[in-house]
Amino acid sequence: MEEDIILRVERLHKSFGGVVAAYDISFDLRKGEFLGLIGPNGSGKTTLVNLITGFVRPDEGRVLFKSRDVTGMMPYGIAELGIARTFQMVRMFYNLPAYKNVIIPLCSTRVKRRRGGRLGERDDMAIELLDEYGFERDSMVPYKMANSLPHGYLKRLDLARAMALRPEVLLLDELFSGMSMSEVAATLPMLERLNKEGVSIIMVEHRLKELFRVANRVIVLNFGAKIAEGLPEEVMKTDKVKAAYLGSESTAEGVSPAEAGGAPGAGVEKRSDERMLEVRDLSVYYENALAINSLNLEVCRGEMVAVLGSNSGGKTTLMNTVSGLILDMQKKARRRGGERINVYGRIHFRGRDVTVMGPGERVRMGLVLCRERHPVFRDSSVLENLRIAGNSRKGREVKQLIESIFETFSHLRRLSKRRGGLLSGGEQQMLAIGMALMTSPALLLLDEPLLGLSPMLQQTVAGAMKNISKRGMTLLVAEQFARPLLPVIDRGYVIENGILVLSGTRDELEGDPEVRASYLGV
Amino acid sequence: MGKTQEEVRKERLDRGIKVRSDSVYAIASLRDMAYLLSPRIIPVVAVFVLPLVLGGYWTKVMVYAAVYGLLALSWDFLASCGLFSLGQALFFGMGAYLVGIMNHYFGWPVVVTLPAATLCGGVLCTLLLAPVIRLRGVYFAMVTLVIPMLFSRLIVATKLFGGSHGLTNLTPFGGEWFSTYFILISLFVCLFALRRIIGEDYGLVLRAIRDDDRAVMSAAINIFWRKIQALFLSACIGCFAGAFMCHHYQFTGPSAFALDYSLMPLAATALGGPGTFVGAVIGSAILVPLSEALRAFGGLRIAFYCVILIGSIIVLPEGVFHFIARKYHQFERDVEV
Repeated sequence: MEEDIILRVERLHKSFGGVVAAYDISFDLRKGEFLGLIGPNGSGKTTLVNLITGFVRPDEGRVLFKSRDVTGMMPYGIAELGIARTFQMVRMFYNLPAYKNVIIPLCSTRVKRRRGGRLGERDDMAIELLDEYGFERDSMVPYKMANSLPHGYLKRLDLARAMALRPEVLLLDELFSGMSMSEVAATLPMLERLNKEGVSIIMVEHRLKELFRVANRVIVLNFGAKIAEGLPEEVMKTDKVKAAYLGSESTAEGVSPAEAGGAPGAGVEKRSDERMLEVRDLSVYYENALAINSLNLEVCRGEMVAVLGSNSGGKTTLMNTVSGLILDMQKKARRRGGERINVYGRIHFRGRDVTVMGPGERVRMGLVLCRERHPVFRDSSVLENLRIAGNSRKGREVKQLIESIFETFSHLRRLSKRRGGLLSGGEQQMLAIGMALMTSPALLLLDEPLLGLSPMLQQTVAGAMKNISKRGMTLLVAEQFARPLLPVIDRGYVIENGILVLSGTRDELEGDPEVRASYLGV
Repeated sequence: MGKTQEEVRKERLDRGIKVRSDSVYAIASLRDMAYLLSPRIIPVVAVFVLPLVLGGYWTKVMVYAAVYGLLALSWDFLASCGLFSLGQALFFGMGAYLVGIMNHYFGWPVVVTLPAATLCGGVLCTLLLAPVIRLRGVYFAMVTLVIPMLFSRLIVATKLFGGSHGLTNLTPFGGEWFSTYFILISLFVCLFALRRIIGEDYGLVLRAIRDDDRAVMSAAINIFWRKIQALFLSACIGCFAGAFMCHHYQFTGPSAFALDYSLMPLAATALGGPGTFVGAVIGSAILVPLSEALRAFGGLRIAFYCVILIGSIIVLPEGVFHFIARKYHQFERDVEV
């Protein structure tokens, strides 16, 4: 029985400046097992992956790989033994073509020992490997620069890079986050196949439905401690897990629910006919590729409008164009000789043509963007982060704004002294939205605010957006997760490959068979 | 900028000949061969012919430019694996003093001192900097900035190796012509060798380390060992430049550790275009003669020099080389929408 165990974690303990990220965690991974690792945002899942792979040193406890103590070894030493990983926030070599990214692990001594990699051969090996992970050999995709690939491809590229080591244990840190449903559907069989071939897998994931299809066993973490372990269906039935993970506790864990805060009628009367934002015949080209094709879109005062679409559909480009960031990118591209960007069409904001206006001026007019995975200041506390974001406001105003943000995100109030870098992914997302709110915008643009959040947090962040909207703010949200978002919006647009394919009110969208199939997974 | 209602848009396309000649199999004609080879051969030939045309003074300037070119190459190679150094003077001075000691005290001939100083210097500099190789960004830069200053002060204060007077009467390098062509050939050998190395899988790993060292670690590659290798190679090039210069001037002094040797390579690389090595050489070939030509301005020389440097970096932030390469490989045209 002992020989079956390939990886053993013994009483791991780790705290960062008083924040306990791992508390007395022990478990075994058997050969050929597929272990799911779940838990709310900030429960210490990524820390556990970092502890096992040597990126973070534990305060106490040991990690044993095939009965060998690997605690305290450097990450490359551990990878050399055969423990590979992917990263939650993709870390690719962006200045290299996709297939060159895979060549890096092929240069390691582990791979060299296995098959004496001769010159030139590695290119072929890389192309072949990528072909298995959906980068068709005969297309241009493997040769494209990594920084021009859409998110879903980068995630699979990360997986391919990990698999290039031929590892015995594979740790996947939220591989599916940011992937569209079809991308997940395409990736799942790959993982199943790897597992059948004998790779033991630990998978950190928020998309439970998909995870439970492949996992043999599940471990649930909360506040750094293991609270449950067992078969997927059984684990989800325990009260502790339900309480930590699946709802009802939204008041305790995340954001105040939609009912709290602005009671109906407290804010401005909704849906006036005044047009806040009007986008006419917008087309955006990157170099010679079309990112957005003659798009028309409008947002009225007080509305909450969603732009739904799968990855690389043009959502982020739209947000960057509306916020004016694209002008900066254009300028930079012109000076550095990068990809040339061309924008056609008109954007009107509060009755003024802002098409050629710089992003800074648009912010002063009240048009504020919270970018996809918006960075927070890692070395400043939550409170300082909010103060920095509100530095153009007067002292009293800042206090009021912060107070109202803490009302919306009650979780942040408790963390107000914690450094931004120590926040979990979900907490950072809330802080980023809070920082955008500090400029008290007239129209708030949110780009993928639900990316990388657990289902429960997605619900609560969506609820918070509803609250903000109830207070009279106008919101335009770009998202690929329609399920938590649809109930709270007024209207929505669906774009695919830069083309507007559908628009309508919430009920129209919910009733549309196409939307149900591709975004709600019904 | 920002004119969005234009009826035409600029399109940037690779020249057909570039697309064809990128793939080895497609080189069919002499024209394709010429397209590929002429930007490499013509400058090399031009540089070799120049000393025959130029007078003695400007030939000396060329030697000087070549030495700075080597230092700039050494800087650029180190930067290509994410180590930003402000202390190329350490390599230069180390090479110079090793040659000085070997030649002055032991009387070894140039044939021995030059390679010995290059290799020993490489080892010594690597040993000196290895402990700080884990530091990233500004910390590594700070340490490299300080070490050459430390050496120059030590030598002056302890009067070691001739103190502030330095070591004089070293063996000359050989004839004027010989040393000119020797350093020019060395420069081109280094340039093409480094370009080759960085294009191979070995260099690929170094570039990946600069992009994201954590991701490289997760690919089972010992990044510290790789960085030490790069450091050694870079130090060898720098020491070689110092060793040559020392024999060329028949003198070594604390000025070999001067700040000039740290900053000039950096400025040259920034001007020429970092990350390509060719840019480093082009930058030196512009800056060194420029600073000589400005001697006519007397005291204001450095001021003019700085203004030109700042101006050119603002106008061409990508570097001269990238700009030329783009113009050579691509053309632009207006397209009706």
